Amino acid sequence: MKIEFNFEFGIYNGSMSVTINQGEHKLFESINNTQKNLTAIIDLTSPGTLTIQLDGKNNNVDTNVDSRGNIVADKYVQLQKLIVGRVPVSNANLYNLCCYTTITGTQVNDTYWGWNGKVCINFDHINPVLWHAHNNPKHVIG
Amino acid sequence: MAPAVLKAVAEKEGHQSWGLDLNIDFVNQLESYPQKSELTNYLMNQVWPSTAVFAYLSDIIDQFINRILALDPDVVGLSLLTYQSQIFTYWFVSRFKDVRPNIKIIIGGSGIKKFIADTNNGYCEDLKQLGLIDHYIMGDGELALVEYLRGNLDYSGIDTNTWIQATNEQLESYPYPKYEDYNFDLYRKKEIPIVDSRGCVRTCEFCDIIEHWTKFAFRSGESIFSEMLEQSKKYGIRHFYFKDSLINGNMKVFTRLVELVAGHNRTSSEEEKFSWQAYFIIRNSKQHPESLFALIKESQGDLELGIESVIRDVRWGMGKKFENEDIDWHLEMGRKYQIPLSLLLIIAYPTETLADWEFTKQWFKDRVEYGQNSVYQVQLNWASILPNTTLERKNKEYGFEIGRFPSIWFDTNFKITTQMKIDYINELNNVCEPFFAGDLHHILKEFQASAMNVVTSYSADL
Repeated sequence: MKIEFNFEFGIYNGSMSVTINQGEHKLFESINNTQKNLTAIIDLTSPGTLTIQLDGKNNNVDTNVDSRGNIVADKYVQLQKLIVGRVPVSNANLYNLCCYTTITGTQVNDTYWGWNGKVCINFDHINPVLWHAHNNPKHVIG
Repeated sequence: MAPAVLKAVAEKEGHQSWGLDLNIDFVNQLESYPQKSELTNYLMNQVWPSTAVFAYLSDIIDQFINRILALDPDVVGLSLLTYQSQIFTYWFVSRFKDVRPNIKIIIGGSGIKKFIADTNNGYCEDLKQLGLIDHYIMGDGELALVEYLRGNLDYSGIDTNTWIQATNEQLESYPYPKYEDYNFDLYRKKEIPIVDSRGCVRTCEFCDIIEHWTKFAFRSGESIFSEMLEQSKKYGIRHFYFKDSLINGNMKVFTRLVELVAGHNRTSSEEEKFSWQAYFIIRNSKQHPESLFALIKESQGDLELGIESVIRDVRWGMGKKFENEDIDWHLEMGRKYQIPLSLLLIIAYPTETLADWEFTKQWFKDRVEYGQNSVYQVQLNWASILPNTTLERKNKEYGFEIGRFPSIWFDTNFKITTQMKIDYINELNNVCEPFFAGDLHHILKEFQASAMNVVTSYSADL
């Protein structure tokens, strides 16, 4: 099953690295990316959980905050779009799908990843029809 | 019939091809499925179903894909009959492209848009952008598919909203559809569909056919009869259903056709005789003389008469310019020659008044003698405002507002309310009951149910 991740990178003091694994198998890796947008295409041949490993962020220096506390620059990765079997996942479902665990142990559902950590997405079906039935409910066509 | 049409076109171009009617398999499988209504509600209205229903849908999709892959095609063409095929197709192509991304998929048919005259090709463009399909064909596929197979992707109608309508000569030159891959035992009624014309000679304001096929194009009586002969020999089926808006657009052609079929029937045994069914427009008795009805009888024709309104002025306003005496002439001829007639009627047309409704009820009461004595059905259709029709453009003149669906609209003067329309439909149903053949009573129930759905949707819409 073809899976397409469209990432947006916040580049500040370089970029975070992204590695996508299925168990022990490394399916995609991006280190020292310099482009704002990057697409990872994976052909998943067996069901399982995909783990997106996020590294390279130093929270002490890689987020620039102005005197008012506003973030003016940040090193981050955001999952803009997930397309499974050529069918896009709706934004609401995308948010719920992304189980993000930061290095500090905080667990949230989010598509904006500004800490080192990992994101797990369940691909228990490799038939796109069944995957969307379970994971992309109320997907509107047209 | 599109798979058989396109198979013939592709084979004429020298390509091996198969024409599978997946719809009939799907419909038949669905009949015995306990969650049929949940699945159809999803496919038609996108009401999200349970995962179990999705699993069933997925199984059917896989079954169909395996059938297609067993044929090892390079190109798969999907013809969508109505927009209600869009959701199924979406998941079908998603799975198909996942299994075999290199096989080209093209879609076409009137169902790639919501309505035939719709100018919105968003569904096709979305699918193409996602890589779920490679190309789409607008309009008639007989010409565009040939160009696609020749690699001429710039041809009008391939990935464009505009397309070229076939001329009479082109219609006549099309190969006859090939039904070798069909199993006629799967159909309730064994009949061969035939395309005899495109478009219409009339310009009824409610009709979207004339917005799609802007010119009336037709085949000769000889060409149509030749197809009937060949198809009956090949498939052993002698009942034909003419699929287009009217069979009698060109009286010379129609007269010749019924002469040929009547001639065939005269010299054939009972089981070899042809019979046919078609939409038929009403004309006066000079244009439709008694001799014509005698030929229709001999050729075993079954006519679906587009009356639409029994109110003369309303009907003329629609663009159907014939008199009430002409309707009576057809009823009388139908009874005299025992020609099966089905009457098509639009209910609660925007220009009708309450007095018109009373007149309509009385009109049917006065003609109850024709019920099941030639007239075997009255098809009551809720008045709909179809996109891109003259009727839609007249919304201010007629004083109506359009809702989410063509059947949902309301009188801006609030002289006629939805409840009044529902009451009228029920009353007219009762009045028309003697016209229905015994096994057609379910139509009444379905109609009442759909009328109630309209009320529910209408309330939500407001």
